Amino acid sequence: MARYGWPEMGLRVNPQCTGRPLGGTGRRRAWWLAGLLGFALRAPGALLWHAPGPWLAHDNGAGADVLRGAVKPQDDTSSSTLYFKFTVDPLADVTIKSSAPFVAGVVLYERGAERLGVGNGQVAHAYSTFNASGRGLRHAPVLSLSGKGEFDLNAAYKGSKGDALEFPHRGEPRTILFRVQYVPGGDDQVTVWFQPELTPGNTEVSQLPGQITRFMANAAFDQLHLIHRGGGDGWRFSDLAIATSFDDFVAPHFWQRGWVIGAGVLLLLGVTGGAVWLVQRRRGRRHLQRLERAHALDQERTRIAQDLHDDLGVRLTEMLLLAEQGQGPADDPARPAAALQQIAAVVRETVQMADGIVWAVNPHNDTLHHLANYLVQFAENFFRLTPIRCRLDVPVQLPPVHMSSELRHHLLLAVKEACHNAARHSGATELWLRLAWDGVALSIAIEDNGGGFDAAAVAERGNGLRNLRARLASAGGRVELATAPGQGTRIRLVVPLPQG
Amino acid sequence: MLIKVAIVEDEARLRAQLAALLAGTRDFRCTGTYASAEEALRELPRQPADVVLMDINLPQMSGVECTFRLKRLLPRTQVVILTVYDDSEQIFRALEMGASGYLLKRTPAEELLKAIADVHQGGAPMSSYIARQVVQSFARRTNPAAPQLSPREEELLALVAKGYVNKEIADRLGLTLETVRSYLKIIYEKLQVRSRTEAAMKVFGSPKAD
Repeated sequence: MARYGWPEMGLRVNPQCTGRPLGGTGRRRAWWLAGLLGFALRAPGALLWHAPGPWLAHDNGAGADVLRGAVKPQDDTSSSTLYFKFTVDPLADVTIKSSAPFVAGVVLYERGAERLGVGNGQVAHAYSTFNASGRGLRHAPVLSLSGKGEFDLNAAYKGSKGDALEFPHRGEPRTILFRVQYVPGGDDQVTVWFQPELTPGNTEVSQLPGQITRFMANAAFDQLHLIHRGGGDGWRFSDLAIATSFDDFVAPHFWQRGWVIGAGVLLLLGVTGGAVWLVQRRRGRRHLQRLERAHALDQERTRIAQDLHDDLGVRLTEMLLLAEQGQGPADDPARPAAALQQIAAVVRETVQMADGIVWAVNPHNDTLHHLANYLVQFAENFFRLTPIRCRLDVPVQLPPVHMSSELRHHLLLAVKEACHNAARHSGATELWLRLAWDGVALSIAIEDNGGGFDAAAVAERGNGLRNLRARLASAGGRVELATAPGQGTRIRLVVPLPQG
Repeated sequence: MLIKVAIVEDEARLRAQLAALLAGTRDFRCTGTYASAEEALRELPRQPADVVLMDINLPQMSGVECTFRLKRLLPRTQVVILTVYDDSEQIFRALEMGASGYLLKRTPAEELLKAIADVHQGGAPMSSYIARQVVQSFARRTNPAAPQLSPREEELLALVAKGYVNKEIADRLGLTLETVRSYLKIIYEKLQVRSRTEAAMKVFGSPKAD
């Protein structure tokens, strides 16, 4: 077992194990397919020989060979097991009282001599065996008629007329299956199943005992004859077959039939192929979406990184410089204290920056309502430390219109920028933060009552306004500036913000 | 008048700095520092303070819940929330739970001390931002059992929300500064009662609850 088993397994397993990663799947798939196809081709009972017939044997003496060497002859040295099957349609009724006795059946011939016969014995007058040598494992129900080697076949099957044996009747075909286990140098062991159940799922052992007859006989053969000798109109034989397994005669489940399996394999391949194609396509699409999302996320991360660098990094560096100045030679005792004060101011600004970054990133805050609350809080805290009184014209109740982190970030920074400018340059005493949303666009205005400036000369005022415009443009919005010397300043930020 | 201040803060360095800040003044005395809400709830009844500076993000029990429990144990103790970031909802929850105000940790030292003194003197510091939150909170759910704002209180809150300070409001509404303050106190109380009844409604249910 082991000697044959391992190398064989090795042969089948190795190609998969040694295959390259990519080839592995393909090869495994090929094995799988080959297995399925092999099974499909093998499935409908690999009979050694099958001849549908029909043949009519009517008083034909020794009959003639129908096998014609299709199956390897078995002699007294054989040790194999073969299964024979045939169906018979008797053309004459035979009873024990019949005036026209006959002998008929499938007879194994060896070297021109009649060996085992299965059919109807001359004396038995019922489905029986003839030329048997002795009783086998089980006794026939009716007495054997000595000398002839005739045993009635057990025929207690469902639908049988008698209890144990059956007389052949016209118009009532019967199927007989027998197994020969060849015993070298002696009589062979024969088992006969009368009217076996050959529907799907049946096996050799599932047959009812009342239909089984066992005995010994010389079943060597090199020819197969169909004979009929005696009265009546003869026997019509059909569906002759020889096999190596009982199961080969059992009708396969429909899904075991070759064409079904073939179709199944094709269908499976089609469905699998289709599914794979669909999945790949969907995966492709999803991959694309994922890439887009990843890209958006990347942009967002880039933005946050930029903010952290610009807003926090610069201020931290500033603090470091201030701290180093404070540590210098103590020629001025007030210097460390002044440096510390400056550091404190920068730190406050830095924490506020970090606060803004964290707030904008937090998806919990992604509505107009949150933006409004945050801007109010910012403006209030920011101007508390300045001489400017901050007034708020911000609706207390705002709908939860969705706003992206990016948009909130841009607006927050724009408002901060405007507030810083007002605090630094306007000289105002009062500032209004106004927010309005009309269902289409959001408008945020920062108005002060300060000195204003010449809008034409604004380019010289530094980057502030340019930054503001760039920021709003990237958010799909615009900046409106209204100012003149002595007229105060109004900066209005407008971004499209549709409902829902 | 000496104001006794306790600190509930899990960050040791900040706790020590706050204690040092208070120790350097004449009007304030630090009577206890606690690293957790649990410790504060255990120790404060034995060592009562006038004002407690409360961090929001504490290791186990949050500062919000600690405020609620502390106000039940020591109703006369004032709680001021200290927070790094303007976490609006947390702050507002703490106000609903009985806190008298909030301060950002970046608040300059003088302002911090001034705010503590203000709270202790019965001030109800109301920023525009808080006023908005109060209005939004009262507008949210209408529980018939919960107190509503009177028109006068609404008017006053609207002015706070617009950025007017108490003095300006008093001028505009023809009230004394003291009256404005007491109005604000009443608003805070209503807010707390309201949040308590809403909490009770959540627990016991109400057929009218929507």
